[in-house]
Amino acid sequence: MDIAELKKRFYQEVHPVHPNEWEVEEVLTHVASLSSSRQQALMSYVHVVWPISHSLCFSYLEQGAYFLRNPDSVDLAEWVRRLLGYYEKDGLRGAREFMSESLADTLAAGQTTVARLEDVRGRLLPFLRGLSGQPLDLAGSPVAWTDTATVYLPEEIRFFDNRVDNERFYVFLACCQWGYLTVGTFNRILDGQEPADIFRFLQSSDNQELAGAVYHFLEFSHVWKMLAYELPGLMRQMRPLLQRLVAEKSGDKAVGDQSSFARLLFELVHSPDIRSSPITTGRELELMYERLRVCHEREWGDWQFLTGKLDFTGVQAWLKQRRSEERKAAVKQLAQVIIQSAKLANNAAEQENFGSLEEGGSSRLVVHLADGEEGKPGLELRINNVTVDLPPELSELLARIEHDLGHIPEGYVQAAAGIAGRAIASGVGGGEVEEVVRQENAGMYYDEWDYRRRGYRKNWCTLIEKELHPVRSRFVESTLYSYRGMLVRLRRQFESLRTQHRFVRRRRYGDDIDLDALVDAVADRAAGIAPSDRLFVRLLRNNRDIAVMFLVDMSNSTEGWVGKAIKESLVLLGDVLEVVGDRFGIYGFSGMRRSRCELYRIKSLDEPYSELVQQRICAIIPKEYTRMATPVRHLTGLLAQTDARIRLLIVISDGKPEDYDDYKGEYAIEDTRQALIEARGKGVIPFCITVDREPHIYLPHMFGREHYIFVDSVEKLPRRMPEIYRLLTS
Amino acid sequence: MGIDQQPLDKHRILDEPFYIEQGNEVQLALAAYRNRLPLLLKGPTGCGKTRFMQYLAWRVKRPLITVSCHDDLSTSDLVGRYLIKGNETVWVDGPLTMAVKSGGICYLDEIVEARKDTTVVIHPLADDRRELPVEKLGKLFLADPSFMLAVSYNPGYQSVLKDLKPSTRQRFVSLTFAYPSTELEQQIVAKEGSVDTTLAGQLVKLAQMTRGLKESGLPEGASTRLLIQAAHLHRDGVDLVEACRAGITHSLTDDPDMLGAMDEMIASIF
Repeated sequence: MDIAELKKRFYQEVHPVHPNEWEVEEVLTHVASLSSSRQQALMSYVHVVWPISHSLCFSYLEQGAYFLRNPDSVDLAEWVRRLLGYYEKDGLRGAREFMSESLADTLAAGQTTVARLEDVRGRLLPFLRGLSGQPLDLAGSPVAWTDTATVYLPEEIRFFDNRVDNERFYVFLACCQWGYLTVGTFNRILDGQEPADIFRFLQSSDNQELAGAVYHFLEFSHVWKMLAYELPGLMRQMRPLLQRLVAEKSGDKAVGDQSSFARLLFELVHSPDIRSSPITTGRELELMYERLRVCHEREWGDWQFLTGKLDFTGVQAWLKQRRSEERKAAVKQLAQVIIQSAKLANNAAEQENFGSLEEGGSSRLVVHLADGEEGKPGLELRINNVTVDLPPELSELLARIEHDLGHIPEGYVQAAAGIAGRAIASGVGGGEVEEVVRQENAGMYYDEWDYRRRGYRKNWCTLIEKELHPVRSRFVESTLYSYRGMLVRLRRQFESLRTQHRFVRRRRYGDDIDLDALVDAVADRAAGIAPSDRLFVRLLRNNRDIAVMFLVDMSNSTEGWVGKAIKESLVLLGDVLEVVGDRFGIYGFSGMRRSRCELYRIKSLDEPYSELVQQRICAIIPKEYTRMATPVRHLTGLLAQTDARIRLLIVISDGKPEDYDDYKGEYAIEDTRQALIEARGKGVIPFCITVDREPHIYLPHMFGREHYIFVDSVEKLPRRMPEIYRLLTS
Repeated sequence: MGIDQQPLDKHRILDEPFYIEQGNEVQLALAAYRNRLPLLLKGPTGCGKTRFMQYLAWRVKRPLITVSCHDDLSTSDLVGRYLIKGNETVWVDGPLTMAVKSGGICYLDEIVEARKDTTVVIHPLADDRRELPVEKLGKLFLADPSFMLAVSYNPGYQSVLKDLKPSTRQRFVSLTFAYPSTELEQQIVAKEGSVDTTLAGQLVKLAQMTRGLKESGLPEGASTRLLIQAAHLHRDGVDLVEACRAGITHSLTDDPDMLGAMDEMIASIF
């Protein structure tokens, strides 16, 4: 394709937008130089990138052309997927950085040997967590380091000429950071547990930078020795690699210069495994410092790729944040416990007519936290000299704080007692505390499937669960009245679905003897006929173990007849489902844009079908748009938590999924389809009832053949729905 | 009597089972036995509950009748049923009745797996009445003084269904089991798996790492039983890494990332 053809194609892809011709032309000149097949490949992603960002799309064409010029770059789809991932994470800047970096990569043509954090993350993270027994996290950073909560590792490693070794190096780096945490590199310095001589040395030495580097080297060598002892398998594999690496990086320094870091590291990686004391001593530090000072060698920073860096300020900041969070959480939870037990004490006191605690004055609240009695591990809380059991998460939190600080500061307990005292005095009863907890659970994030890049957009949609305010009306009564004939028949049909424990006779094996069968058998034998061996009675326990969720479309297209028919159907269904005793929930959904997917609770799974639920059904009104996949994902999660043997998700809708933004057409259908596939993967069976004039081609694609039914006229819906349900579940 | 006594003899434990005490559970269990109290053992899978019962049975020299509970276990499976023999019906005692009559230890393993209506049958046995009414015979059996009831379950399964009813729960003396301490577990693996203590120590280290994965989505870490299993495989000539994979990690999960992480653990340790 020449420029003119490319331009035509480009305008087709981005139709109806019509960007500046000169801008388009400039970008397409880069593309024109590619071979025809590569041009096609590059242009085929324009419709993916364009709606996301126009600037990004131009950069994509320009850089993509360079990318494709390299004969080794084959996986354009993967490249685009990652590009969009970076765009969503860091915006245009991140995406551009990624493009220029990947360009450098392709030029270096080291593609297959590079190990990427993204690729090893899946197994490295559980490995690290298992190794440390702590909920550590992994993140990218140019140099390896840790703030004690997250281990930062380079985005990619390319030291060795094969990928396996590079990936192994990742494991080693992660283990090193764990090593710093284990030998206590940070705690000793920050909490002042370090012997005084080290402190003095670090602060008073004439070259503080060198002193810090020496300290780091010594800590690294202790970590090395600890790893050699604890993880011999890892070190056996790493040692030759690292020996080679250190030799390469240090050149002749390692041999010539007796007192350089290169030489020290060279010695370290060649040293035999000896278990030594894991703590750096002041004497060691001084000797090493003297040894290095003479050579004026300053290349410690060059070795950070191997040893990582020690960022005390980062650790301190995190530590401060974590401690303050833990303090808040501990105070909040303690206050709740105190309020609750005070309430209980109050109630008990009132019953015994001793007067309430409040009359005695809440100032009498004496709270004390102490070590448990002998033989009982952990802490115990004493309120007014009565021991109170701590909830497990609180004891865990307190244990963590105690491990961290060495004790539980008295201030925490007193602050909690203060809050509790005020709450009791004002009769609030900890409502404020509960409110905070509720607010934290306000929105839930869900991924969204983008079929164009064959990947998820992470945490793309926000789902807000709301309660529908009940409306009093005669709707339920009039519905029940107008369908009264049908209802009697429906009830009878559904009654027959109800199963109970029942005895089955004439079994080969069972709990008890079937006397009739036995008499027959004896008579048969007396008559010379071969008797039956089915002589037992057995208790059969067939439970209808079903949980079903109805997800009702509340988009504005359901206005009028459709909405009324859906409501009527729900009233009838609710009635007959009570008869059969299946667990069911009803939720409505609507919303606008990805930031506001709203889910309205009409009946949760375990809530009884009451008048209140009926009033909520009456309150169903058409609202906004139909972003269907997010509520499907949410309800799938809810259903997956139940223990029912059959889990059904029935979607009642009147059309295609569609939202205000570009959530429509193929994108919306594919996202919904993906959500339904996820549901099936979690053991939830999705089914769709669509009210429409004619069946649509997308329905079998979205729900799968046999997993949908369409009702062509609205009036039939209330009659059809219970019937469909019965057929589905029997 | 002859019919009853014979199968019971098979349940006697003649040789001392290998058991190292974790805490004071033996003392507690013996005290419960002397005072005719039923026992409830709880703890994660493969931490030594069943072995403890065998040891206890050996200590008090009583036969141990183990019933593995399951969804379809009926009351008749525990108490007994009539069978037909020629023109007659013959009553055959179930394991529970057998133990009640002859004074054995009846151990209901994983009791939460049985239906709740089935387990109610043990209620009159588990309090001071110590009696077993058998409706079909119209008889009430008083338990032999040396009879003991023990049940076990794993509270690790986080399911509402798999929990004991309070009315069942509140009849028992409870013993809580956990994975043994590092040194103890090392000792156990070395002895049971017939491997040297260094290797046993490495296996224990691996197990502890997998137990640290509980937060990351592994339902339960490697049990002591799995470690012993891997040790057996290795002793029989299987390569150590392979033994750990087949014997431990692949029995824990199917998740590829998790398996990858555990492969790294194996590679790091051995």
